[in-house]
Amino acid sequence: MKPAKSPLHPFDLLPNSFHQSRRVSALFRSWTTVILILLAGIFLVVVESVLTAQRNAHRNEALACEALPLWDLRETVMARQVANDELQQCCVGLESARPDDSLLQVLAGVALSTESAKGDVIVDALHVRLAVETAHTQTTSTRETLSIKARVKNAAVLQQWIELLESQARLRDITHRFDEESGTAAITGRSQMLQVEITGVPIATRVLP
Amino acid sequence: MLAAATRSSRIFSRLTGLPRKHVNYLGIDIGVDRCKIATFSHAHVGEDPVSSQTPIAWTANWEFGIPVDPSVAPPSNWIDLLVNQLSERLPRCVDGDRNLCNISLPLPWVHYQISSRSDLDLARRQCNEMFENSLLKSAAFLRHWQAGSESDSLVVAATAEQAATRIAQVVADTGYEVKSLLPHGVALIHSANALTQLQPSAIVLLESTGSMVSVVERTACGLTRLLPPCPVPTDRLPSIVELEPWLHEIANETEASFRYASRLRGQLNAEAPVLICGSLAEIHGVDRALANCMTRPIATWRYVGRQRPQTCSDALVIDQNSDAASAVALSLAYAAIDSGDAAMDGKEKA
Repeated sequence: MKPAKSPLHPFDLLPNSFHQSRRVSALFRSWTTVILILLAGIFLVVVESVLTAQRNAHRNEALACEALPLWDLRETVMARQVANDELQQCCVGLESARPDDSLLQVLAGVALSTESAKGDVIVDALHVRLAVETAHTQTTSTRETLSIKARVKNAAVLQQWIELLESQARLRDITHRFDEESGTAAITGRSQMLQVEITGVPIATRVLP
Repeated sequence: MLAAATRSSRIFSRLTGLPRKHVNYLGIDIGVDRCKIATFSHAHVGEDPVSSQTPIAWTANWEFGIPVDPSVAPPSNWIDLLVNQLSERLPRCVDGDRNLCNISLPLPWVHYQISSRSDLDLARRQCNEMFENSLLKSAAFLRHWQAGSESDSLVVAATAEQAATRIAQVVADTGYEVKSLLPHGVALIHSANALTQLQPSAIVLLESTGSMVSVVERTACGLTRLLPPCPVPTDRLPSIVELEPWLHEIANETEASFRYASRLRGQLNAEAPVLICGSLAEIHGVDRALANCMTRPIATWRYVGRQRPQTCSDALVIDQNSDAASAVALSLAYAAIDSGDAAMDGKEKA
């Protein structure tokens, strides 16, 4: 802004350079003030940010110090977990490698039932069939079957035997069928023993590996 | 600029509710052995706070001596001495006030000469040479104005550039806003009507350290000449008897100036009074002695405003004659007021 010339300006004995230098110095002072204030502001911001960064670094360091044992713990847990998994795997392997006694149990069940009627029951043939696990299929589709070919003294003994067989945990669905042909042969032959064929379903605790 | 500043400060104060800056207008009349300072400011009216609406009045007067003996050759370190005195003895500014001031330099520091427009370069060379070889040892700074409306004669006023800048600098460093540095005649004629209610045809400044005459050209300063110095020693106010021969000389020179001015312009108003001011104009009988020698009415410079500063010694008796000694300072102070800025105390009376 250029100041308006007063009517006395043509008579002014002061060189213009004086007024100009006053104006320039006033302008310089005001701008210097502004710049100094700005610089002070910038300086404060920089100091503040540096202090904040230092504070953050300290905090992060403290956090890291506290987190180190936790991290160690985590690694230990991971290692333990891995070890556990391996052991579990071993357990499974061991479990699967254990010999199965389902067949023996079935045989034992038959043997137990037969023991009380010693002499009255003569088992000629025993056929047990259980589900077998193969590498490819989980279970075989074949049905578990049990068939016993036996000779019994009379029907009462047979009935008692069947009840005993039924009471065995490993056997169910016991049915019997008289072998007419052998029955007649028996009557004609050595003794009066009844030829009978007993069928049932053996129970396996699980599929045989 | 001032009007704009006033307006903006008015808006500022209205927005913020803060009081506006108090503005003082000062005239600093630096003489050879005395420095006179007059202040105009907005007067207090009753309970009202000071504002730019109240009329401007003469509120303060101040003067201090400068240890320079005008009767012997001036000391070689005159500028340094003056700058020191000013920086030590100028009244301090009140914080927050604006102090606009006009300055005038000692009479011997300003050189007047008549020149034509074509001889301006010659005049500049002469002035340069003169000031380089003088005590002030500086390049000259020239201003010129028309001596008469019907001729291309110019009045050339010259002063030492460095000295003027140093004086203005020291005043500005004390806290004043230096508006301009005016020749005595210019300030006196500019403010004469407003301060004295007279329309003078010329103003004669009579100081024991130097005298000058300025003829009014229309309403501005026209022909300006230095007059022969007073031969009476300055350690006391001389009596009218001692001054008689010198006053005769002054009257002759003034008449000669009028004759010269009328040749440049044509008709001059013989009815208009010649204003005399300066410390010698206060002496009783000087106006009468001059009037006897001249064919024109003579008037001593008197301030016509109602308000004037209260002095401790003569508060009861207002000695209007003493105004003549402060005429230059008052005129400078009034010239610092921008026209139309505020109502003037003296004008209200008229």
